[in-house]
Amino acid sequence: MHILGISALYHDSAAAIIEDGRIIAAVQEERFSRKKHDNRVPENAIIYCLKAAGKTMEELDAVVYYDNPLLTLDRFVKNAEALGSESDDLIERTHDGMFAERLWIAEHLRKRFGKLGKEDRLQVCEHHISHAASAFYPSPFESAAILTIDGVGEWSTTTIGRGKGEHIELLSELRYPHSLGLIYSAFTSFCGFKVNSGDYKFMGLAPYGEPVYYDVIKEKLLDIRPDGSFKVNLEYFDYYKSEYMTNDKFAELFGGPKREMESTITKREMDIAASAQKVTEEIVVALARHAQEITGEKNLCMAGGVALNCVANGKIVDAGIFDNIWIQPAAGDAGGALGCALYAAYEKFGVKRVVNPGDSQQGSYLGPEFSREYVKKFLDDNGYKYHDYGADVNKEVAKLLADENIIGRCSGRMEFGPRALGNRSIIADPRSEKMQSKLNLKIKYRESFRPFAPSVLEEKIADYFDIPCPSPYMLLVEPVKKERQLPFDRDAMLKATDFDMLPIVNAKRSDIPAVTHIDYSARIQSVNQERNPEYYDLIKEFEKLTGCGVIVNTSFNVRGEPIVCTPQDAYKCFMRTEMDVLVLGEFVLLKEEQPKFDDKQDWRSEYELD
Amino acid sequence: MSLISKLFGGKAAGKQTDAEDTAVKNQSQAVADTEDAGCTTTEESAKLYAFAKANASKENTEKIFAKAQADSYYVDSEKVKVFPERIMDFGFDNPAELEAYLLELWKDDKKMQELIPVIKVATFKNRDKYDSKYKDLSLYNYTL
Repeated sequence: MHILGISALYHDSAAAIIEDGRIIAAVQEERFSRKKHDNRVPENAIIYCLKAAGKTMEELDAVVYYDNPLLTLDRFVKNAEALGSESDDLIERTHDGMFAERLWIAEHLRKRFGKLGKEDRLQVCEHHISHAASAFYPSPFESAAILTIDGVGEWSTTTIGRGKGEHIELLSELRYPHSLGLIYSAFTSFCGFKVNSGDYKFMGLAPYGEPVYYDVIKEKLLDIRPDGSFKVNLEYFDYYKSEYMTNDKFAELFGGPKREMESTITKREMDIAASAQKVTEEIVVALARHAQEITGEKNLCMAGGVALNCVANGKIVDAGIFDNIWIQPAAGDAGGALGCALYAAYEKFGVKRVVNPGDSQQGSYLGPEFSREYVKKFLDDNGYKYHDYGADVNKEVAKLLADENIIGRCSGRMEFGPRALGNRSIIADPRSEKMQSKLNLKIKYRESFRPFAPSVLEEKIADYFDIPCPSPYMLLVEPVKKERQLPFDRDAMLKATDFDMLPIVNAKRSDIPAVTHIDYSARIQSVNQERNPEYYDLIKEFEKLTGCGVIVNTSFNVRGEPIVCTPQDAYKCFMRTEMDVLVLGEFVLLKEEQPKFDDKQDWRSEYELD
Repeated sequence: MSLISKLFGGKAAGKQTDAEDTAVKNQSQAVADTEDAGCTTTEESAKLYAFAKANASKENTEKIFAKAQADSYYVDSEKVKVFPERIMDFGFDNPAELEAYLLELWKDDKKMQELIPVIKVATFKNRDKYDSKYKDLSLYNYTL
């Protein structure tokens, strides 16, 4: 049985295809269209998924969309009704999305692809059910509590449910406009970062500040109950009625207007980030605790965009509420494509679920890969100089890493989800204290305060980090081990530099400084041989040379660009930056050996800053 | 000021009369004919606005936005479920089929059912609006 799942028309469109519950392929549209967070119907991702499964659209057993347009319509009109005479902006902004796109999703797909499966019908699956399914079904648990938290689906913004065997049920929920995702986005936007792409930058800013606004947030903005439920004080927000997230009353609370994008980040933004993060963690932990109380389960599964807040995830782990936690790597809307397909398989078509003790996400390496022959032809056709190391490629790359080269790696199947997990990664030596700054300015062309993430050999995780479990999908933030930390006075440095974060970023904070944030935390990816033998082998070779079982892993892209997908994308990114080495499978390219790169346009204007 | 607000010349309350209805139709057509990037004002959106204004009430706003304080803000997911199943068929070829879905959606809500004619018109008027957004089909040519 083959089922295609589709997410689209919000942000991060994607497609996923499964066979009898096993994931064959899953991929975000942005990787093909090269438009970050592309929200259009994912035609290219669908084509890839069909090819991966060797099926045409009409051969499929079902085609499923991850949201119910009728329930979303219900929210839209009732939101307008509640606003009354203030609903004009909302109606105008939502009109096309609803009447020209969402309600016509089935017809759009038919126009492009013909018959939608053997029955020529489109199924629509509720949004938070899609999230819940993406969290539970690939997990290694026979049963679990399920927590989904996002901006909004149709009406739900947070749900608590239970998964058991093939079945998922939702128990409790919070509803629009009371949304942790929207509140966090409001703060993100106020501090001058882009909504839906800047949230994790905002999270990365928090350790620079103090939570001085924590009490203000709790007194004025959010009524948080002990059971984790909350109500938003809408007097301070505009997201439910206009294109703006916050209003003048909100700005007054925080001492002035919002920060303009790309302007200097001040102490105020650092403190707001710290405060918002603290409140978010409090709510998320309380929600998790309530989920455990009402389900009695010892395992937790999570999804929804807020589940990408890996600092908050780490707090759930630390709280010890559950024995085990599994978070869908594509926790945002892209993962909904996978979830709705799985829900259809198990709940509607009666497929029997086989629980894999290591999880069924296959390392989240679910996208396209390019054969040796394909890559060689690409390189030869273009006259690019390369070294073919064959089976020894990891040994050679490890040497280059140890020599402090910055290396772009495009190998194996592409990751599904926002994180690069080694196959579409820029990797580097974490021991160098200049590496973080170098990567930021010369490669990523991005703000300097943001940390990089470590990929660590799974069996060595406890040597480097204070974390009680593996973290294969880079979804948990925990501290670098105390014995590796070096004294560092954040407050003194901030004062001395007048809150300029660049000198602080360069200060050595541990013996793996490039992946240590200013509060000693790290967003960890643990790598084992089963999920990614090649990447594991590479880190192992690096450890043999240096004694260090950790490397820097950041996504293979420049700022505003989607993560690279193809060797062509990878080569372009390689040549546009000051990266030293490019690895395409078994082939290694050195920058100094490459021909002059003819860039026909100012590429920096190609990508809208995120 | 939004386009709808311009049509209504401010924030007048109350239901539309037939004369006002015609006036809205004429004005909204004129507005719809002008290019206004990012906004769409049509006769239907104006009618939606009229509906929203006519039904605005403190009670309604409280009910939908849940402004009252409580010990817990959770709602029982089973109680708020609208359709029998969380996954269902969806798609229509003609206004009658769309109407059937909307009647199921609002089977217990006579007030919302008043919007069905407007929604049908709005939906079918915009059936082909975004075809051009997807004209670059099949960008993906890569061999696996």
